[in-house]
Amino acid sequence: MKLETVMVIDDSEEDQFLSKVTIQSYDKNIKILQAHDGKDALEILATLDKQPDVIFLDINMPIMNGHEFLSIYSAHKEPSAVVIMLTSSDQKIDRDRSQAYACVKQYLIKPLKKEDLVMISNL
Amino acid sequence: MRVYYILPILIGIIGTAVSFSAYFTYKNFEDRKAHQEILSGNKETITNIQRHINENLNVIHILKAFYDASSNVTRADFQIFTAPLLEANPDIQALEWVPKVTHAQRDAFKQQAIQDGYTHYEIIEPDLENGGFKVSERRDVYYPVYYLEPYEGNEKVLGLDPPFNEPRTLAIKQATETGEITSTTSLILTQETKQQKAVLIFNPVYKGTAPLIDIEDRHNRLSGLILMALRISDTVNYVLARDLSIPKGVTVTDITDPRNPSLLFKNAENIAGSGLSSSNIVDVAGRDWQITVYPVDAAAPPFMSRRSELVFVIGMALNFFIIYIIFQLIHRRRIIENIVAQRTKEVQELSNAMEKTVEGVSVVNTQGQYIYTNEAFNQITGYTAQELIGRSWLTIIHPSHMEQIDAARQSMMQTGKATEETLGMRKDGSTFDMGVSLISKFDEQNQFIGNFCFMSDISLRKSTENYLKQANEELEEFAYRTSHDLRSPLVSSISLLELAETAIKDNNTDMAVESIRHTHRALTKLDKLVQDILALTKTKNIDEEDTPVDIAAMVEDSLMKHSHMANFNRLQIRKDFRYLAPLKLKHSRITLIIGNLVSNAIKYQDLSETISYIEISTYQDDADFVFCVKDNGLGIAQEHHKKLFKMFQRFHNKVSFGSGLGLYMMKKSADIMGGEIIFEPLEKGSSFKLIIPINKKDRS
Repeated sequence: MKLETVMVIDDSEEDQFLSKVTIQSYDKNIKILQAHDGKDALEILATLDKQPDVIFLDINMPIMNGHEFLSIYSAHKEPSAVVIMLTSSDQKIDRDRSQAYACVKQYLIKPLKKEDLVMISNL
Repeated sequence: MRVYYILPILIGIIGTAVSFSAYFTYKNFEDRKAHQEILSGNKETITNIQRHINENLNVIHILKAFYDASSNVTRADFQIFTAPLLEANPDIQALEWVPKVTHAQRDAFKQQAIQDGYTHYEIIEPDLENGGFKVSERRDVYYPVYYLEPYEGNEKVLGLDPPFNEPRTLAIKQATETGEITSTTSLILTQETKQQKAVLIFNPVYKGTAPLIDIEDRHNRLSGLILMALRISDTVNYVLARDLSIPKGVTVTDITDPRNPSLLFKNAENIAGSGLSSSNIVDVAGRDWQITVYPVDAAAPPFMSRRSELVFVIGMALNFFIIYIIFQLIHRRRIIENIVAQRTKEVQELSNAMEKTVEGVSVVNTQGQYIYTNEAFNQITGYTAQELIGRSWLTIIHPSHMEQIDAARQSMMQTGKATEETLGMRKDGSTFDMGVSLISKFDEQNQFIGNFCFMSDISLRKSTENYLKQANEELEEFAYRTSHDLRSPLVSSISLLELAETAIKDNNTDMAVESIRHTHRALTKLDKLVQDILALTKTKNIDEEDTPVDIAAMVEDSLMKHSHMANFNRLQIRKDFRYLAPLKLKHSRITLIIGNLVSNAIKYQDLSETISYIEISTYQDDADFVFCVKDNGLGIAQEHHKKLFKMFQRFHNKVSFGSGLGLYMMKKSADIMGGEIIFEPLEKGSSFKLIIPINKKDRS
């Protein structure tokens, strides 16, 4: 899969920064969209003509968390993007709940690494 | 010994005595009866013997009459006449005609006899020298046996005239001289083979019809004598043989000479004694015979009767049976008494337990009305027993739960039992969580006669359950969130520091600075979280006394502390403290609440407003102290209101660096002070109210 546009949904500015640095170090040309919670992300996605190739999704966020986002995102329209969970939660319940959605392809523990991006591009 | 046993023992003694008495009475009666039977039997036998002897004597009288009536009795006449008499009295040994024959008539007599058919007839006498018989010596008068019936068995005596047989001679002489029927003393018959005693009975026959003048005239006119030889044993045995009763012993004694009694007959020893023997004296042709009859065998019936013993045995058996029955009855009665006592005790204990138990116990009739309530039941519901009895059992159920509890009763009707948790209502209208168990009551015919209603106030349990459930949920949430929220900034910081290191090496200062700035931010967040967690731990654990507080001063203090926060200065602060009475609260709790409300108002200002404000006020609402903080800040979206006071809830991003524990801690603190925190969304901004009930003591 060619990575042209990715979205990072995370309320933590530090993690947004880290993910951005890692993605850019992998490929400077990738366009990065940042959302601070699920609601924010849905609003941004609604404005886009072209959906991102990959969405990196955190779970614990204010306003609308990862699970709530997935339930709306997977229900509302045919999910065009691959969702990669990117979280610091290693809880089984979070893993099981998110992987129940077909669009969720991977469950990664923070921080994001270059190898992860290589693996994702090979999906 | 128990008093119980006196009765059967008494009855046993009386019964035994009665049995013995019955035994002796009956035995006595039987003995007497037996005695009388024996004696009457004896007498009957004596009478029979006597009568038969008379019959025999009668034969002689009849013969004499025959002779008196006939001028000449031939041998054939004699034979024909005596035949039926002998047949009727077979015990008669012989009937003879003994004529008086003078010596002058001897030859003519002999010729006559031969003519009559006794071809070898001769007057004979015993031959004392040679034994046997010989032709008689010459005598003046002979008394020879002439006609002889029956002839067979008596042949020997034909023609016999024993001159030395003194009894015979004396009897003939006496008979002749008296004209009476005369018996000899006992003698042994000539024709006898065994030594059985016999008598000869003579009856004289005289010639002519003129009256006999004197002894000489009798001698002169005597034509002969009718003789009957009677063996005594034959006569007695003949009678006894016809006696159908028990065998008897008979003794016949000739007691004509009382000094010299002569035993004539004896067939058995008298072992029964004089008590059971009977005797009578019978005149037999001038001789006195004493006939004695007695039972042969004392052990023979009716002595064999064991009826009296049987009466005793049956009496005793009946006695023992009655005693046994009485013992059984006593035994059973004691068992039943024990059971009754035990049951009574159990029922008493149960009844006491029911009265004393902390559980409410009541009995309800088929119409659903109380017929019994115990103390606990009354205490829980606030009614008295008198008030409840006769009223519907639904009296104590809150109207909102009637349907549920009615369904429970229906279920009990079907299954016999139902358990339900419902809402109870006391007399004063207050409600409480109620646990109810309904158990059907049935009578012996298995007919439904109402039910038990066991009831308890489970409010405490319910609230404890709820509290525990909530605490448990919180604990899980807490563990989950802390593991995530604590680790997250650390993981980020490590990566950020690595990034900074690389940037410094690459001389990329901008990147390094930014990385370190982010690291700082992450660690600050972590520090805040750790502080809040510590505060929360305190919130939960500290047990603090109420102390007087000055709300105005505390608000000032809090504003001072938060004055360094971003945008503090653009915030307009309005204060309106109307609650002026002294107030006692838990100091650290109220501090925490004021601090959080103030800092939230500062943090969540809406920067797009020209004037942002915070309005802090106190006042009294009825019996409550109210602390109110209003702002025109960002507010909280409608969908989050439910989660407002839960742990780790954040409702703002970008502007927020909260831990998500603030409101949760406020709520807990309010709870601990016995009050509550209420959030009210405003058209713009939000309003938080801390409401704490104050008692009279604090208000005064």
